[in-house]
Amino acid sequence: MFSFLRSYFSNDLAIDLGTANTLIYVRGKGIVLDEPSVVAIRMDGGPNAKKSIQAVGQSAKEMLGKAPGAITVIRPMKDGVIADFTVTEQMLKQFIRKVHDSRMLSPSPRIIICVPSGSTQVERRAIRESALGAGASQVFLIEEPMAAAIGAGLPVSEPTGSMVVDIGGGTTEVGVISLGGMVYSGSVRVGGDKLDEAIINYISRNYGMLIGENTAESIKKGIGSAFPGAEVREMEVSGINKAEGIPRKFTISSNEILEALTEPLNNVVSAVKSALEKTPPELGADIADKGMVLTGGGALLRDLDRLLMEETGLPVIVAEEPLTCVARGCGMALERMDKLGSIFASD
Amino acid sequence: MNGEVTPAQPISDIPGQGGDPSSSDAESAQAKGIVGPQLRMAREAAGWSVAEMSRMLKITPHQVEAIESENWADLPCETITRGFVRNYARQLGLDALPLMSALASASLPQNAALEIAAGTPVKLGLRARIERCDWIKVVLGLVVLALAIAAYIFVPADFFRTSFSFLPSAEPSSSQVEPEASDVGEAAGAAVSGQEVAPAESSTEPAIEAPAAPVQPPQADAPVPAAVAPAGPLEAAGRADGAVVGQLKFRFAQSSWVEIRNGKGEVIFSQLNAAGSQRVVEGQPPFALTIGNAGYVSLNYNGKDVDFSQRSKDNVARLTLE
Repeated sequence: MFSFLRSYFSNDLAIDLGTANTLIYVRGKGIVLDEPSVVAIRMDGGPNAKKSIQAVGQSAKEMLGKAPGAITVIRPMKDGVIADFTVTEQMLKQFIRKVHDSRMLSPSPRIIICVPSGSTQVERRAIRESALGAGASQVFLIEEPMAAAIGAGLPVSEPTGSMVVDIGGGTTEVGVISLGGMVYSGSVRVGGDKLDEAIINYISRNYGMLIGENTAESIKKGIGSAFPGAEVREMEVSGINKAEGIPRKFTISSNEILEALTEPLNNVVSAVKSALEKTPPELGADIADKGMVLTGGGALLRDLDRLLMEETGLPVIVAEEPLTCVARGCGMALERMDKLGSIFASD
Repeated sequence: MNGEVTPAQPISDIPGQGGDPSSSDAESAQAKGIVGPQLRMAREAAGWSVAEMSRMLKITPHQVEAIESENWADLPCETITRGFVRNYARQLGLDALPLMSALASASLPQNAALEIAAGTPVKLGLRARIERCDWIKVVLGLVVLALAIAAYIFVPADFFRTSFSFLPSAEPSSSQVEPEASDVGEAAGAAVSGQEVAPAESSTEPAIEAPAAPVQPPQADAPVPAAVAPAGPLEAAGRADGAVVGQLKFRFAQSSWVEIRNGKGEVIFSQLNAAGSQRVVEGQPPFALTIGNAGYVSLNYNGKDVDFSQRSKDNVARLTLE
């Protein structure tokens, strides 16, 4: 009854609470925040001993691996779900404060927040409670493949099958969507973090060098590849030599990174093949015609689409601006939230 | 705007392959709408057939031809079509950006609007209704609580007694009270009499009490007497044997709870007494008394008035009479 007034006064929010990055879409404004999901917490000692949030987002991420003992840098999301409830709530609170005008008359925002399709009831409830604790008046959940498909521009409400593969920081979500609902959804806990981890392990094993998460991520972005190409690229990397305990520089090639990434990428391929096996034949025909769409940060891995094309024999398309697909999809659902009940997930 | 891509252009000269993507190329593609022809020329220059390109891109030959002939209606929605063109350009080593710009002005099949057909169950409304019901329950609860508090504050204590005195059960009658008193008397072996005790009833009591009590010989030092006397003269009838040495007379201006224990700690009298009534309790001292609503109770012990106002706390008096 008062939805018109509410929409006038309140800035409803759509949040892509990702393992690696958190994006916030504000109704009528678009994506206004894109920050790493990282929190730096300072623990003061002495007579005024207390815990305080030192930094959130990009500034906190820059402290990762460089902080002194008094500062703990935490990534409160792991494998797409909340690993540290309190810190997640505080992080959300800080992000919402950045983007939501806290005028006296404005009501608390309604929030759409995305959850991995494979998340349990407990994990979904944790995300909902966390958003409520951060100041939301109502929280609606949407599954990530659905949001990604909407954000990528797939015809989710049509009676035709659309397949989306969202490779995020913590999970890879595979969804087959038709008529505004999920026909199949699958989730594997392999994402950008696992790829970084695989690179760290590979370098440790083959070079005897220790590198940090940020370095591994920059290697992945720089010369990471999912499919062997004609061009071999190289990158100079710094790390600590395990035998000597001294920082050293060394050069690594894209072929080696490809080798390092083989195992986690095979898991992604398996998840996609599993989804295709379980897709109803009519929708399978649509997918054979249109192919699948890759979204999420993992879609930016060089030649990942080619790997999936070769493995499945289907056309694979990388969405435009894959990093923001889920947030944009959440935002589009937010704009029409009163008319799109079936796309939301239940607890 | 004047830049032109000629059919004979070699691969190395195609933007993205041999040189930087230029804005003139983008404008050219956009102006002339030659996305398809450009792709076809590049494919032919590379020496690939439609079937080979179809195999590489994992799309059907029909779709390859549709792209090359810009027959967009034969292709899926805009997102997919743009993806196909981008993949096609990458396969040929072309820069996809100018082609994407050109496609922006092409009449691609638009993405379907994000609308769910009417009749789809909407969970949002359901949730809102549940919350509204919760609010109603909360408000109703508060109203009931407020009414209860108001009733407690404003309704006088004797409202129900005065308003419903015509009901037979509104005030305990003597016939209901008496058995309780006599029960206590039985247990404790004490003599109790009340002014409102009916003679007929009280006369039966000794008959009941007599077996329970020790033999009532005419001896002077019988240990425990047991008798309920008619209240008329306010005198204990069983006193003739001389066993009863203590007599308590109560007058109640308002209703009051009285409990009396003898020297052994046994309860010899315990009951609520109605306003305006009188009670006589006899027994062996000492007596431990607990008198509720003490401000409205007067006590006479063996002919002497007892003032227990100094021993009252919260209008409850506790005293021992030797």
